Amino acid sequence: MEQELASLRREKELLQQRLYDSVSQNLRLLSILELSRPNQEVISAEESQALLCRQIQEAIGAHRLVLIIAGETQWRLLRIAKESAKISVTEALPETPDLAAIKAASYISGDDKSVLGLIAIAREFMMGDSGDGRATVFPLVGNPEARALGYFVLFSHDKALSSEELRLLEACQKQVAQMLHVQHLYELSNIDSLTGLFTRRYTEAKLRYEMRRSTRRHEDLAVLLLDIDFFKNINDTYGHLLGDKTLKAVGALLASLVRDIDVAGRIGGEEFLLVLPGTENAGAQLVAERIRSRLERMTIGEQGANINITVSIGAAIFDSNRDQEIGDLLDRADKALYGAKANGRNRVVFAS
Amino acid sequence: MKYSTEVIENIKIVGCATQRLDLYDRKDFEAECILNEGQTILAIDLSQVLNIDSSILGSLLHIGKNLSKINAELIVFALQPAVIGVFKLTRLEYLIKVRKNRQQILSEFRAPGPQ
Repeated sequence: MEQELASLRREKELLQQRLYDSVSQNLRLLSILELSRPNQEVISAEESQALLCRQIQEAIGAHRLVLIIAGETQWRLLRIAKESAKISVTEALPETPDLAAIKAASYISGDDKSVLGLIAIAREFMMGDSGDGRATVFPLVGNPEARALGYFVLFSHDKALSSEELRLLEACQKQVAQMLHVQHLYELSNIDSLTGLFTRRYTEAKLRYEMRRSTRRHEDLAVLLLDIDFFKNINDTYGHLLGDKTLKAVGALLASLVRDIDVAGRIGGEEFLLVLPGTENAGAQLVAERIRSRLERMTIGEQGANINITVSIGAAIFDSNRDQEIGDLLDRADKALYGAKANGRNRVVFAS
Repeated sequence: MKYSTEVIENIKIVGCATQRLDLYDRKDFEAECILNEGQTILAIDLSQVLNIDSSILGSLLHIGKNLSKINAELIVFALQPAVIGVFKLTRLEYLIKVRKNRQQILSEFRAPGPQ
């Protein structure tokens, strides 16, 4: 009787474990399906890639994974460490001969010599963090004709991947490629062609998202509304060519001064909006003042005509109690900008 | 606050005041799900949650397994239709107890008090 009971108990535990494993497997499949679900909120490429990496990490389990993203102008690398749940994103990958060879080929695969180069690049970024072991490269291709949009480099310590893990990875591979492709098109359609900054639509959508995120995570958020002083005079006196050149120069300077997580957009003729997540009053003051003084010192020239410009900046710090809608926040920044104009221009004014 | 907790004798009830629970919430969510001494039932109120993603489901699975090791139990209650759908689809319903409402939990799982 006792024995029978014990064996039944063991059997129950065994069944329980099998059920547990099968549900775990279902959840992994579900997480892969979630990859292709369009994100409900507009988020930057970087953020959705980080999110994506976490999801892949969920789906694949304990191996180490490097995602190399082949951008239009620069290549970047995301390293995902399972244990720490930490994701490191590099700035642009340095232009080494290895990378040049990989870029030259539109697509590299298993029996290609440059695969070793790619693994070497990925290994270097493991920074002694178990970059040893077997490495496998998976190209991410949106459609058969296109160039690779990126690569997975997967490091597995001691054992080869099981066939189930390989299947999961293949599923991820397709989803990720598709996502990178869509993202690429999306970004292309949201860039202002004159200044290279984001369009008004994108910037506002991004601001809406950042406002929600800021409320949710209790993080600071600042916006800067920037307007070139007497821009109409430049157009009228020196012509539109120099006017365009001025806009381009301002765009380039703004792009060079903001961080990766910030969004700089051109939202009107000579009006720009900067969205600065995680930035409080002092930080916003610093950025705004830096922009103002750098632009003041800049000379823009066109066929003998050299001009100097100044900008007025209205700054506002997001307050979830006061700013229900994006319009509320922008309205406050706009009033501050008006204050800067009324007080003699070439200055930064903070919204009350 | 996104989460509220209430303790009734051996039962800890965690309320989630959000429509969506996802990867971003995972860490905070798991931190809310820790039982103190004397608590044997973790009951999670999902009445406001319309959308739940695989990482939170994974958390629930994990929490349920860990609790069973210390003779405690995880119960979710007041699930929205979409969430019930996911529980059925992934078969999580066989591993995690699902109840209709708070009343049901209290009458079923409250430890018998001193007579």
